Amino acid sequence: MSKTAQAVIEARDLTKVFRDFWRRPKVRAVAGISFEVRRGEVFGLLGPNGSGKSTTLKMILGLLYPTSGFLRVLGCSPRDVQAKAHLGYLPEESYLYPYLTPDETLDFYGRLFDLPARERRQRREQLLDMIGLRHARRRTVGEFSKGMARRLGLAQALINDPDLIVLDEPTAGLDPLGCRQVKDLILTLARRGKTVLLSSHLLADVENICDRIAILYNGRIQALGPIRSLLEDTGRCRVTFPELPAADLRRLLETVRSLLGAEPAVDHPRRDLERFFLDVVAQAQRGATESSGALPAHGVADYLATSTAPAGATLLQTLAAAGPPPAAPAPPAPDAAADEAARQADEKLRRFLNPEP
Amino acid sequence: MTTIIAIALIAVRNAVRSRVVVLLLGMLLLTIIGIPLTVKSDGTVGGYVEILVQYTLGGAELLLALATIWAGVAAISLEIQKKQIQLLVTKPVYRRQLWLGKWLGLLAINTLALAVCGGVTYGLLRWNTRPGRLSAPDRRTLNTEILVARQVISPEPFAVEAQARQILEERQAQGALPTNVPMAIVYKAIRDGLLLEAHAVPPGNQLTWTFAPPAAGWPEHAFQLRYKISSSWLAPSAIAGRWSVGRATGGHRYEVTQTNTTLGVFTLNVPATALAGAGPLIVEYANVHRQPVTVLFNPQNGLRLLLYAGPWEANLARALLLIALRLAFLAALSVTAGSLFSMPVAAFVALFSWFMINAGASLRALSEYGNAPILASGPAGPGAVLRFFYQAVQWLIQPLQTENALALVATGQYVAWSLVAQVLVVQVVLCGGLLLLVGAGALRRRELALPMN
Repeated sequence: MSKTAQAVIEARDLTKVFRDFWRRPKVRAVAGISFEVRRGEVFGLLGPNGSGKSTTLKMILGLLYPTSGFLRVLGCSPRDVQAKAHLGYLPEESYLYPYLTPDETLDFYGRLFDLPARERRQRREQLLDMIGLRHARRRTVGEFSKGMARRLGLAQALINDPDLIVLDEPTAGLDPLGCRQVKDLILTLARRGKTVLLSSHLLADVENICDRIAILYNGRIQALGPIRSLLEDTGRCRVTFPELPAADLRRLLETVRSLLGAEPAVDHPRRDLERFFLDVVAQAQRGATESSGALPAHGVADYLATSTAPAGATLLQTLAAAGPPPAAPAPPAPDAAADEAARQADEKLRRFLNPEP
Repeated sequence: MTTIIAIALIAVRNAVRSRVVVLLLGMLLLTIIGIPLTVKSDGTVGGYVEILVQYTLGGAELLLALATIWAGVAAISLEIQKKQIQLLVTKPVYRRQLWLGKWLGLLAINTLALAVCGGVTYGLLRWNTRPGRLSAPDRRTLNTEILVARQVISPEPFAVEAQARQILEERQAQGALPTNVPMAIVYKAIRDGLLLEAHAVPPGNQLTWTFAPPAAGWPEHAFQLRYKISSSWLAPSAIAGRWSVGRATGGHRYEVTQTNTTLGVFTLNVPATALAGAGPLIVEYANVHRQPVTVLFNPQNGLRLLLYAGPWEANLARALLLIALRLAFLAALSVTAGSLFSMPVAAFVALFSWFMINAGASLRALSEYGNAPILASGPAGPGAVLRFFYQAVQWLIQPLQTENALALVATGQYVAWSLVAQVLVVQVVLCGGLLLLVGAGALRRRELALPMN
């Protein structure tokens, strides 16, 4: 299969010029950008406000029409109605009907995909579990907080189990728990071969989940490629090890200084705030306090998950099971085995720094 | 179809939960119950029914029309403004399905509101005319003349065209015609004069009208002649006249002398026996007044024949159906306006179109005569342009003009199924279909996420 055949979105020299009432050009929001999004990848469109990322997304969704250039989505024109059966869209704000309940909202959007009643009911249940709004299923969307509406917006985007999911600022308005869940969900969907296109200016979110990114500025692509290669700084390296006694550290630095001929930077790695927050909340929620907002979400809807995904496991279980990230080791556990391991590691390091003649 | 119904149901649910429907029903009930309490009738049972049916239900129709325009325009333009449409059109939904869903939703709300209005009006009418509340003559009038559906038949027109043409030619030959007035207007003036002359009954003379049998044949019920007269005397006066009614050949002729004033509309009850025999129905009026006075009948509506055509309840239902169909057209017009323009512009366009349609009679007059001195300013003058404009607008809106169904029901006149079918085909199927094409086409062309939406 050729590279082009794998492309779910193809954009070449895509341009969008907004015009005024008299059709005079007013703003060139997108200026001849070219990129493609391949099947199964998570692609991020980044850029400051007004850089053209939302305009690009809306052209892909057929909500705006390109002024010039070539654009294909799922092999069809973005205006092709049938192709939309394989598309899911989460807009940047809640555009849901405020007088409907989550049940009715999901049922309505399910009907638009002509899903049978039984299927709609099953998916509705699973999605409500997934977004943690089962307890609020009888309340109208107008009563929801921004985060709750956002979760429901995400659920409606997934009701048809889409092949291409377009997410505009997917974590905007969500609490850290919701952000984490959305990111997990995106990764799960990508593992299932789904294609995810997202726009965001929360760079940390993008960094964690995107395979490739395009950075837009002033309607033009300023950088495009795999996130790993774009971010890798091949001119520097980092070595992480446990805390050392001051004397050992001094000797280590002298050795490094003599090797480099320059002063190395030394600091303490910080814990990831998101991870810290999630741990604190998970601990608090074990007390099962009642909440009127979104409850702990439950993994990923069965129909969206695969064997590789943590299907059935709750988000909190997943988070609890997942140890601290490699870049931010947690403090040593206060048990004997852990103490022993730490002592051995220190010993190895000391031997490395003070080789016996 | 699932998609269309889903969109329609959501439109209804939104309207109900946003309390729009409750508010609308409240206002409608207030209109129906309040107007008869505040408006004084002429004291007759006919006057009461006219107020209850024509004015209160008419007021409810007006309210519903305004609500339909507002809701129809908002159905799409407000969704574009609030960006809710972005979630709809990124699903496999054709623009025509979106248009039809919104339109069907409005149709459902209007049907519900009209059914409630019709039910309450009927209940009020029956309650206020219950046995013991009306005198025996009033009850008889109510049951035989008002709460029935009667077909209205006009007499065969008097043939004066040939004579009018002859007079026009003679005066042209004599050079006795004004040069700055179009010939069509002169001809019409001569013809109208002849018609008035033909409908005048000098002392001791009589006037004869012929009524052709209706398509469904003559029914076996008593029938009525409805007439109004004026006279050569300036002051209102009572004038005696002798009526003779019967078929052209055979049968029994019904004859009666009536004394009527030159004010008001009168009804003459004629027994069914007058319909025995064959051929057209012949009605004669003889001026038998003692003093020398000429009786004048209006050539347009001086005499009408009222034939029983069915129960009143069915007539009311047909009238409500007719209103529902007219509202369906209005909903189509508003939804299309909302598809084309933003909310305030669309509301203005829909309201203006509705006003033009309802100003039909005035437009018709303008397109026929207009301001004669201006319109007669020659083929290239401003009058010609104005006349062309009025005629074009008149041509456009003519198919949308229908009789006031409530006025018919209030006076016991038959609302024909053919009228209902005509409105269904012309206003809903043809015009509605055209509006669907325009609306769906506009939505296809329109970018639904423009910053200025």
